[in-house]
Amino acid sequence: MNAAIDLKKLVDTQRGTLSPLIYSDPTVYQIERDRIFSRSWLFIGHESQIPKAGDFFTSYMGEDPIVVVRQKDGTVAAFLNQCRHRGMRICRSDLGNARAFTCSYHGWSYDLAGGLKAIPHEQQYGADFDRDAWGAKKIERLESYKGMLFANWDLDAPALVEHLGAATYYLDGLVDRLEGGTEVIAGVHKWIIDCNWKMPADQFVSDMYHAASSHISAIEACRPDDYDPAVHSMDQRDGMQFWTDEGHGGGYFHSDAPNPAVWLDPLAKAWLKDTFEEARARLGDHRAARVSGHNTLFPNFSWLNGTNTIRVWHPRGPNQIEVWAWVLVDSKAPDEVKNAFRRSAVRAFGPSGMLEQDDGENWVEIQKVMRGSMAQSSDLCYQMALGAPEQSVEGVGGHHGPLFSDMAARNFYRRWAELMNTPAPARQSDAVQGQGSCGGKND
Amino acid sequence: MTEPTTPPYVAEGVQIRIQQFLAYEAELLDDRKFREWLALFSDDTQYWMPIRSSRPPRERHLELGAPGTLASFDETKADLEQRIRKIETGKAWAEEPPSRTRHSLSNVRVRMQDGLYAVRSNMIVFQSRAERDEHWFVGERFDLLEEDGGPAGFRIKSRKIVLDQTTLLAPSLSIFF
Repeated sequence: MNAAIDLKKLVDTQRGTLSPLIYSDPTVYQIERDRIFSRSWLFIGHESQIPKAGDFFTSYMGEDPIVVVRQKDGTVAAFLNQCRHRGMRICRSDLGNARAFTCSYHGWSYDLAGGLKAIPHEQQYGADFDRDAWGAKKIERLESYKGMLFANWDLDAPALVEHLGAATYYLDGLVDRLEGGTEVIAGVHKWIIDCNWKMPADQFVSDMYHAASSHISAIEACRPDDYDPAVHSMDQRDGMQFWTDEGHGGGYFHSDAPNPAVWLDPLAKAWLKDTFEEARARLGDHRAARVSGHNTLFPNFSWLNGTNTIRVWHPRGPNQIEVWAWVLVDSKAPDEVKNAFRRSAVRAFGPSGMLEQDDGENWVEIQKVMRGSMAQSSDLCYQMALGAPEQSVEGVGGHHGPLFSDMAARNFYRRWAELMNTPAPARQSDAVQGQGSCGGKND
Repeated sequence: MTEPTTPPYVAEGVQIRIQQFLAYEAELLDDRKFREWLALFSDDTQYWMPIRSSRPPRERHLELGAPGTLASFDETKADLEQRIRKIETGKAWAEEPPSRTRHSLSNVRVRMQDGLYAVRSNMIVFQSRAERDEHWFVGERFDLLEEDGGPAGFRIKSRKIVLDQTTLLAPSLSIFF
């Protein structure tokens, strides 16, 4: 533990520098758990994973395990996956269908919303025992944005749409591109990378710059026969970055027409082109042509348009993450098109992904280097496009700047530092109980 | 799983030839002779590593992801060739410097299935990377082999790789299985 750590000196967005301690220091991580992950909207999964009453999946909010369950009335509820008796994990399946959840330790049994239903030898607890007070800790702030489930421990947090802010404009370009919306392919990629959670979040918020160097081998291997730098290159095209006051951001190439990434399956590319007119009518020219690009919603949810991978960087201490990645598809697409997106995402991203492999390699090596005393005390350079004027996009909120810049990253760390420098309110009393639920499917 | 479960007894000569084939294939991978390795697959081959998950007892049969769900690998022969091309650029950073691998196959069980050999084998793959990274991939392979009369004797019609992990404890799958 580094007791002398000064949070205010870790991030200097004016000068464009970061202290490597934000990635490696255990004290910083402890503070992040309370000040970032205990009061941010965190992506926990997708409604299409649990269509029927009793369907559930387990997930995480930071390091806290949770259970997410479709209720009999069609709503979704979630609760901390911890028995209130001795702290045992209540549900140890990744997904399934259940009528109740019974703790394996002493048999305490919970209903689909986490309420304590029955306990063996209850008479031994006496007449004053209040069974209702010992339900699993409910997640009272749970909201769906067009099928995407987000949860927040902070009872005073703003509504989800307020937190998404100007980023909803770009998020809709992914999840609401066509009539009928989106759903996920069954299955979640889960794997670990020995790096700090902010490295991938930062890369997806602001870093198109790395692609031409980090992913050069995949881009060369996928290079089409009609390769044209003005259309396909990762570094010779221009584009824009966006960022919002909440810390979200992303980047994309300029395009007047849908220009899918070179690694997509031909059927997936054709779908993006064939549905362009419908998307343009729904989204307008600016978003409709944006069929590739990188994005992060603060703090740890990212996606790639076109490739349609969506993922969470779950923190596992300062030095490790658990990546959970899904593939999102347009609900109304024919099965063979959904399959083409699935295969494209598996081959490009995910643990075996030809592009994803290269990212992990960078982050793992950075994290190892940061064990050193000199490495920890040598500031990192976030000065690309420092002082560059903001650009404006007519009718689009938030902020915009040049694609190859650290502007969205500086904004991400500005927001991070702001939260880190604001002490978290005292934990809510356990006596506060309520129903954690949100509207029905597609609400 | 739809694989046959009758006792895996075939003629001793066939058993030995198939074990030799699998050892030869592993040698090509560990020697990083990826093009020669790929030549052992049929043109219509399927190379698939489904995802595994923990399920409640009565859903145990769904533990392995079905075809069409998210997978760790879902490849045609052309897809595998593209992965080899990536490595051959010398700029595939997860394989540059290259992984040092050791593929060990054991418990080889051979059954006849529609004129093909359905071969199950246990797999332990060790991967050493860079200075001191190491990863173990333990699981089972389900291969369909056909006699092809060529120098290697067989061709791989399909391969399913099942790892004994749900959450993968490695930063990437940059090697072949």
